[in-house]
Amino acid sequence: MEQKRKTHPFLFHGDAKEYFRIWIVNTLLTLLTCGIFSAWAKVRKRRYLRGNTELMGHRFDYRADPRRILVGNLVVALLFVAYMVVGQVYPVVRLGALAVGLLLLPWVVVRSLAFNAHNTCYRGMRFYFHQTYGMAALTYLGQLLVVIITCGFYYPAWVRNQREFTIGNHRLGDAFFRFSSKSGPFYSSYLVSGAMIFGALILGGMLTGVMLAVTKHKVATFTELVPFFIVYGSVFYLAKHYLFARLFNQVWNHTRLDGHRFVARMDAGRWIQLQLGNLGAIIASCGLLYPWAVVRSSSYALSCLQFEPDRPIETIGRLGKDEGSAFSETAGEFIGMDFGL
Amino acid sequence: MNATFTGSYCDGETLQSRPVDLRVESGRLYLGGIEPTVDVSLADVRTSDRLGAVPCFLYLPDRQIVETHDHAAVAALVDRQRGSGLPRLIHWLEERSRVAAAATVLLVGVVTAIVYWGLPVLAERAAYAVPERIEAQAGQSALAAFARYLQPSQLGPADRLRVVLLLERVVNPQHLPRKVRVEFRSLGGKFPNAFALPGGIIVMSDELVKLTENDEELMAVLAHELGHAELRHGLQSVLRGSAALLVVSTVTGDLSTLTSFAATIPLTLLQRGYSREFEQAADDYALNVLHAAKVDPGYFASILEKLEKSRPDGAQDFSYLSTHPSTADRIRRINPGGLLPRSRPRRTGWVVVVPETTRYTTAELPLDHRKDTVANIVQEATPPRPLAQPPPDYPPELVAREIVGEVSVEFGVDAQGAVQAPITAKSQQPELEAPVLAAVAQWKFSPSQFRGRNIPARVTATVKFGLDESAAPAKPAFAAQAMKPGSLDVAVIAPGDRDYVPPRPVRQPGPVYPIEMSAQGLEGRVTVEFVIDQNGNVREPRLVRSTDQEFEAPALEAILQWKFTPGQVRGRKVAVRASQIVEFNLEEETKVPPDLKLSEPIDLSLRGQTKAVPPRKP
Repeated sequence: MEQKRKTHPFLFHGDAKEYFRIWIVNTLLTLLTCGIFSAWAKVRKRRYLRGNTELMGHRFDYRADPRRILVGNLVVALLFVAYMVVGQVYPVVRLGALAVGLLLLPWVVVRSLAFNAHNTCYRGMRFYFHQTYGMAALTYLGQLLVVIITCGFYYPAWVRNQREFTIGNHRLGDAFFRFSSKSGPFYSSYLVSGAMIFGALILGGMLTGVMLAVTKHKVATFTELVPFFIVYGSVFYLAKHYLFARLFNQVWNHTRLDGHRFVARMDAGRWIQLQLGNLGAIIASCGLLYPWAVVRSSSYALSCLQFEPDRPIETIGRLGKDEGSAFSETAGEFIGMDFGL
Repeated sequence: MNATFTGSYCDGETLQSRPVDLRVESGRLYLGGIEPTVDVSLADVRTSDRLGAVPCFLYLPDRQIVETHDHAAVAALVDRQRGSGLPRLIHWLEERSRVAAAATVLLVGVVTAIVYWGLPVLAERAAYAVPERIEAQAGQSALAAFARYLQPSQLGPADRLRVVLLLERVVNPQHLPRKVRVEFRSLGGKFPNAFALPGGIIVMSDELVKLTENDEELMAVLAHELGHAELRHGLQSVLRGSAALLVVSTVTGDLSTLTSFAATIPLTLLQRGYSREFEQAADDYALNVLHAAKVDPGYFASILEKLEKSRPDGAQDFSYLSTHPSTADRIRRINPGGLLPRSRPRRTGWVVVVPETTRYTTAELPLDHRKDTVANIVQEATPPRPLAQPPPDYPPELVAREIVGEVSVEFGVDAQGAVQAPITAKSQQPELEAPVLAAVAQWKFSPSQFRGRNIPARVTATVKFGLDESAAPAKPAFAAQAMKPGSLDVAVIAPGDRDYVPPRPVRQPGPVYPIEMSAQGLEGRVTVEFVIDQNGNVREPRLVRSTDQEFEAPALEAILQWKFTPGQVRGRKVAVRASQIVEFNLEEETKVPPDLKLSEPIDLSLRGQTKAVPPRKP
């Protein structure tokens, strides 16, 4: 029987009003500078979220150099514009560009994870991501093939393996992250959300079908498709956040930092309720309440997470150093880990 | 000034943290309360920029850091350093509620202005700056994308030629720098439509051509689509689409996770707004064009109304092809007075059609025996007899202006009794020509016969437009009995005649390769017969055979633009019948092979009468 260990909560000190002021000023500056300021804006926003996350009396820090992100942004913007212009005229080029992009994906993922980790600090210690392109290609492309071959059946296991790859290659000083979870819980989570979406498709289809039968139309008009889109969209949103809550718990509860553990107890119902409120507020305010939603989400998510060290964390020491490049930081932003790390 | 404050210190080697007292003295930062004490030059200390209530980090050399909440002390420390003023300015802005409120108003204003004014202006400029070649490729890929909604046209060459000629009447007064061309497609019996694609392509559906009851309505449709093409609406909407996406992703770059679904809805609404605006611009353009072509805008309104009625229920909202919004509004704009030619204006006793004289001649004589002279045939052959002759429309604005006159048309009646390639021989009022040609194209005959065989023939008919109070709008009578073979003046010219100088080509522009055929890699050939008249112009082009219907209209169109030196017999200019194979060849582009086959010279010079000269068997 393991003895009861002391747990330390993650605390979030962010204030919605304060973050709104930061967000609106930075967004406006981004717009007025035609996007050039976006790199500085991103660093400031991210630093606000990390800097307000407290663990055991200390805050996290984000130290990325905006100028490097700016370079990455410019490269991505150039590629995107070229892709749009050329692709509009020669659709074949578009396919080719997508193929090249797909092949570059593992590299982008690894570089952005490394950049993100390198610039995140706790108590003066930088996080570090071990860059293994071969493993990344195997995880992201090789297993994608398996997903395609199995008609998507392998997808939940693929997601699990991605987490294993990203988490397992992180370390803080000389303490290594490990991720050890079976695929089963991933399958059950995806099964439930899949069933929700499937049910929404049927329900929405029936609603539109009834309307078609009443109006005796053969082709559905836009207004007749509205109930379908509403049902489908809202259930899709619910399923997405149900999945997030389930995976949040599953991932953190099976993540170790050497012997130290994490305890996540996110309540899926409360999380969904919170996100529905966010969605309503964002739509009603035309996106202006987005920062409020971010603070609310971060605050709740972090309040569900606790750290459970198995010995004093002061024993964690330094081990080498490394650098990251800004290019991949931007390109791979959507893959970044948003909470805690 | 000696600032003293507290913080927690980490040495960068382990995660151990210790409380520390900080003191600034003579340009150095002293860290007390730890063993061993640390002191560093202020020049080596970097501080994190202020950001809300986030604690401040002091970055010392060798990965050492100090974390402190004492912003005031750090601010004093920063003052001594030469730092960039920008982060402090941003923090100053971020701290103030009034700035945030102003920024909110400004942001909403800027985004609204960009979306509603900036983007359209940019898109318009960009659309006109797109090189012609790129635009043509864009049109081609658009046509290819449409392919699954469209089927090959079932229209015959006469209908196609009519549309092409009407387009010329619409386009020519505009003096456009580039070529506009029509593509014929069928929508598979669904509702009629026409749309313009980038690169000056106007796609007409068979159903729309059939829906138009007269040339004016067809011209109105063509003028409207010409407006879309010339104002670059296709390109503009594409550009607006991607530009809107760009702006939205810049402004709400990190919004993707939460509202990627919701963010597309306003864009869709935006697009619908754009189409309405474009429709109005194209309508205005069409009104100018129709004015230049002297067509009553009422026809534009009437065809719009027909289009609206012919749409299936509920299809007007959710169909990719029907981009035309609120027809009632548009009709109100086009024709504010509501003076629609919905029914023909009734004036007592107006008379339209009196085919007074018709003259007949044989065109392609089946000469089986040498002994058959032209005179024989002319005497023995029975003339074509009219079966159905719907009268031409009398355009109401001409009735209103009391314009009367005669139009003589020449046309072929083929062995099946259908009218082929009607052309105007003589007219007193150019405005009356189009209705007559349109009507004649629908006439039906029982074909001319020669020894029990149906043969083609040529007919001249004169149609009189008059506003005669006494005459009733009677059923038109075709004066077949007026045709007396004896009235034909036939001259025989032997092709081998030394005094005969055949016509020579002066200008032979090649046909336009239909995009969908080149896209599918399809090649083919079209054989066309025509007459080179005394002025060297091409008249009466007639299709003999073709490998593919799609090639017919371009071939006819091209040949109509050809120019020759006229043929001569003993110093006198004569008309000559010719046939030409037009090859559509992908590798060498479309070309006109040099094998122009000239057959018999015919003489059209005598008092409008036609003389035919039979070819000799080689």
